[in-house]
Amino acid sequence: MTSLDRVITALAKLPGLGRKSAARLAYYLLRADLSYVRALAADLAALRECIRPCAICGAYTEAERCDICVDPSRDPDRVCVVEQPQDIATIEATGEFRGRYHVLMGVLSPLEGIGPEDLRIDRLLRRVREEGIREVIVATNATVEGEATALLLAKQLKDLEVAVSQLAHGLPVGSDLEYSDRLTVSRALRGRVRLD
Amino acid sequence: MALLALRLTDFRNIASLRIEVDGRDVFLIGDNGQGKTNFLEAVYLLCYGASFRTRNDRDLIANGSSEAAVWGRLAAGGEERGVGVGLGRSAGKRIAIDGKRIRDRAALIEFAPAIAFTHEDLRFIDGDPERRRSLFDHTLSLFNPSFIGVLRRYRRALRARNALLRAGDDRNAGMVDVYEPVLAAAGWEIRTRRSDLCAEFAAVFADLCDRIGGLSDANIEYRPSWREAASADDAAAELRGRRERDLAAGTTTSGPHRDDFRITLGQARFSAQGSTGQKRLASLVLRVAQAEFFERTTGRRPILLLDDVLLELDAGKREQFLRHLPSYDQAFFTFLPDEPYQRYGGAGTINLAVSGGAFTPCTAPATC
Repeated sequence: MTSLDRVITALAKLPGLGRKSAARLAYYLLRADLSYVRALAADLAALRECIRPCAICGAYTEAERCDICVDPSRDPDRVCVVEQPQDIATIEATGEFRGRYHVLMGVLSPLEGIGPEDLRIDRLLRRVREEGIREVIVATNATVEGEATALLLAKQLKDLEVAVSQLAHGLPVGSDLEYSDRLTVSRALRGRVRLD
Repeated sequence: MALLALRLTDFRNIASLRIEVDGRDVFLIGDNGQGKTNFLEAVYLLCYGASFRTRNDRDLIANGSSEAAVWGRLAAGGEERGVGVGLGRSAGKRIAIDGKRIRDRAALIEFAPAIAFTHEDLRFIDGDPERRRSLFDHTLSLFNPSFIGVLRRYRRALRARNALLRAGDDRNAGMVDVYEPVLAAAGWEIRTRRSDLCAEFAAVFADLCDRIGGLSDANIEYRPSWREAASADDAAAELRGRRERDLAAGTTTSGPHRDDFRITLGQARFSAQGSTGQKRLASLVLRVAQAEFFERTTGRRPILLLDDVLLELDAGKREQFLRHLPSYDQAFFTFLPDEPYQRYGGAGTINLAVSGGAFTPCTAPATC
């Protein structure tokens, strides 16, 4: 097996890549600028050594604490709970949220044997108690697992002095009411907002 | 909507066929095993991208051949399309509309659906509840693709709850607590839609059983497993109330996956009370209801495929049934040579004699 074959095999293991796409990338790298390939290899090697979860929220960072957790301009009263570190980027891109985050590192999934103890729920409860957090916004996905996880968080946070909310589920922006399914419409109805 | 032309290569027992079928009624006449049903199956494949007889696409490829090709020109809503389906033993299935490959079969279904009336439909009446649920779910998903998402959501939550029940660990109780409302919400959506559809089907069913078969008291009644529930919250409460029993059973014993549709004649089950002919008629009427529901929902008329279904009806009921077919732009019927099919056709009927996978147009019925 040549190193070319090894690279193709390794790339094909990445999510969303088949062997054909992997081969295309490998051939591209073979002919690309050497300094680019060296930098890429070094960065890949450094990825696992330098990047680690933030000691507070669990987001990926190179420091002990992530940029958001140490930023004094962020609202310490609000915490947004997400499934994965990459979800933070999605919410940050909106520019609407100025609070902090908490990453669960997954969702409840009995079919994969993932229970509450496998998620960073205890850390969240401790943060709520110790940091004086006043609102927890649950931003898990609208999947079966994400919904169940949101309900579990709501139950566990019930006895603490904290408001718990969930992202609204409803009509996608730019969509027609006529073409929406009833589950979406009924949720949108329940999550309606006042216009005044 | 209608099929204007059909070309087949190595499809089941049909080695090669190129035919124009520009007519409203098409009669396929031949002995058993000659290829009549294969023709209907090819038309169905063009409408849905799948067969009504098998889930394994390889079954459709002629013995000894590695590929089959089906192409047809379909007309709907003043528009014409060339639809091609290629099937390979190793290459799998490729579907193209006007030469452009499509990934999602939904694009096909929306254009020109067909309703197939087959012998297997008898199972709607005397088969297990699964058959009836699938008829209703299939109807709902065909005409409202978002229903497929609701079904998937329900099945996923059901599998999760069952996995927790089987693990039987006390620490899981909190997990079951949070999965039940999710399961109940998706289940309630299924139940509401099945209930609405059943009411529509029941009206058509009672009316046609009466008019075609003189059965004045036929009915379909939805029997949801969550009997007492009046909302998703009630359903969640019912799940919670049955949890002990479900733990012992190691599975979820209530919910839409345990629903049934009770088809009755008078006070008794149709399957127990009806004769074979009456049951056959009832199964056909369910397909008629499906076609009528389709026309009402989409404003279009499906292609009808009727496979030998008149055989078990007596002469009087046959004519009544044909008179009460749902409105259609085109229908394909299969007949055995000794059936009096000439009586059912008209001036514009296309007769095709079917023998050994060959289809020969014949104008004089006597020579078919």
